[in-house]
Amino acid sequence: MRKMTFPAIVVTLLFFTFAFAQIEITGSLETNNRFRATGEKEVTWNENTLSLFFNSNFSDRAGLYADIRFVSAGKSEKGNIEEYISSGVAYTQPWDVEFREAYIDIYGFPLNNIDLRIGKQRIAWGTADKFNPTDNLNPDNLDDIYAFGDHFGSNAVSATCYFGLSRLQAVYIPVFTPAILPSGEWLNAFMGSSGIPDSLLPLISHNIPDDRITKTSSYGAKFSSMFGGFDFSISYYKGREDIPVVCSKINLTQAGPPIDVSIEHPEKEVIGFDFAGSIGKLGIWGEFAYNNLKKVRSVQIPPPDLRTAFTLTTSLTAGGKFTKYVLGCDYTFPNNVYFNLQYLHGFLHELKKDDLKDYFVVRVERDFPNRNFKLIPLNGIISIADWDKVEDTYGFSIGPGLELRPADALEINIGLFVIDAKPGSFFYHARDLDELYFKVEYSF
Amino acid sequence: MSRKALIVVSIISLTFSLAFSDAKGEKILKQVSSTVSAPKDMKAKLTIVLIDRKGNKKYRKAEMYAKEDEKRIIRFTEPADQRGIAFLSLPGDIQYLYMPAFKKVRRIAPHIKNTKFAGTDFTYEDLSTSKYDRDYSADLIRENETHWVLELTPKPGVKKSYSKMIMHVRKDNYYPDKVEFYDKNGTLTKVLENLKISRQKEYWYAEVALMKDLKENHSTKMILEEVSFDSNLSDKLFTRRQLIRWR
Repeated sequence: MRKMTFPAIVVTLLFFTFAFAQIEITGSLETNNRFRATGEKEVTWNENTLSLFFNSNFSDRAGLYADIRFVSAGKSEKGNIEEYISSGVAYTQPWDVEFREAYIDIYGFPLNNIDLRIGKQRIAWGTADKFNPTDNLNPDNLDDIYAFGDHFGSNAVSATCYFGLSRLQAVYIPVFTPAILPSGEWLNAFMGSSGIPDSLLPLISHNIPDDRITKTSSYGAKFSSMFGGFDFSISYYKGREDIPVVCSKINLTQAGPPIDVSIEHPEKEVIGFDFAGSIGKLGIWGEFAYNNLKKVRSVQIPPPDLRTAFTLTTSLTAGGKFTKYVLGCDYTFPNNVYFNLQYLHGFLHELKKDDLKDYFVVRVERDFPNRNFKLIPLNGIISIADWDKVEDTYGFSIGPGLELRPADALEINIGLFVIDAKPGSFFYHARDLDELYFKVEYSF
Repeated sequence: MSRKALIVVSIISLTFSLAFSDAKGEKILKQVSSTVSAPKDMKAKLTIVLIDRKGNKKYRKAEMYAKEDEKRIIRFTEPADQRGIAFLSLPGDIQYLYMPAFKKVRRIAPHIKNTKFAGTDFTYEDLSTSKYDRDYSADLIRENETHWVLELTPKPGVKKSYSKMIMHVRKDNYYPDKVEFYDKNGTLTKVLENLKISRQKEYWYAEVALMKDLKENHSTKMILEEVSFDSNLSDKLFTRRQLIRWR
């Protein structure tokens, strides 16, 4: 009950406030369902979301925006009878409130050509589609892996200065926020190199930086302009890696599994460059991120009787200097077939030079706007871990889909994702997770 | 007059007629451009009606601002799933699209320009501003008491999605009330009819326009409301900054 009271009060206050402030309230209602395509056909995802968007430019000089979502997970919690009886609705019908964004805009302040944005905000950097190595300011939301590319907003101050075709944006984020990780096999896909058994997970501490500004704050700046018909930007970010890195100390002198294991968010700097434009009718873009990530190591302490023969063994878990990049192109054929291809070097969780692998993201769709549907024959990602052993290291998650629009503001998505992978591929841990999806969204 | 002389005179007359007809076509098109682009700027609310082959209708609402010949910005306000989608067209064939869901302004590549904008029968190219006499050559192909009929073809070096347009221009005000669009294969694909041409101050404008896609048997009616001209719109309105402000 206590859990429900706070958001209820906040939303009620927002409604009353916004009613007087002439704020536009819009939103959407979405049900998102997935089923395992093979085996026991488990229901793997059943989530219903009510999103409310509050938007107003209440004067020429200021405005506000908020994105608040009420998320109901269809599955009940699992626990003991005491929790079942005492937790009530929170146990049988768990739900959550997500403050995705809530910020105030101040236009032309302190100078006419500067806009300030203060509050929780999404700052989307990069020109690539969903896979943006320069997009480091906001924490990744990997809770639903099929919504890849989603981010939560960050509490931040952002100032953008406009001059001619150019603009300079500076961002300061006082407090670090880690990424939201996926669960189950997808967690293993992201954290697979750690090799941590599930039974040990409760023993692993999560080290987040303390409250000192020098430890928890992050900042960045981006200059964007146009040259030779191309849009481009250069950017700098200093902060922390939002995907945790495993740091372990394995003591071979003791029997049993290692217990001194933690996950950490090392400091990093990223220098980015991106561009977007066209060659002929072909749309092209590129995004490069030179990372300087603080090194995180794992240490093995050998048994005493072997110390004369072996020294401490350390291995680099993550860190160092490396460059991730994306190159992409898209084209629309005369029959309304849209083709989008991206090549990625380095996925989100690959955090040292030797770990960077290659990926191809492809999407082919044909829109029938007058018949209210879109056919998506191909949508997915192919990974190649080692080009010398493609047949032993490939992986993919790919499938067809259909988007129906039976009425204004109503969209239905149906489709399938087939996953297969060889050891070493990002998709290896999820290779048996073929899924059918069904999503309905109504906007109001 | 001998038969030979008659032939020579006929050829000369025909040549003169063709030469002066072309010149007349260019002159009329210049006048059309001046008429269509006469206001310094314009703002209006748009009601867009999509009509499918069965006569079913869907409604869109948008606000539009235009300045000079080549600056235009359009923002959808309805329906809910398209609210906030905004389109900016700038000189030099530069176009941007703001999609609220992605929180990003995206550059529109040329391959998108001949695709339909937000489900309407207007392409991005149709919605970007165009100065007819700058981009097209015009031949006067026929005329009657009320109309000139011009054939417009893109000038050398100008890339357009249409191989030609047949434009029906009213003689009383130089405003086109019908345009037929032909694709690269020379097939008639779309027809624009300006169903209601109105006048405000000294300016003429199409208050109600209907674009028919003949291949899809689908049409889009665009109705302009709350139209005002020469409001001294700021150049700041036609920027990426404005797209982000609108959210």
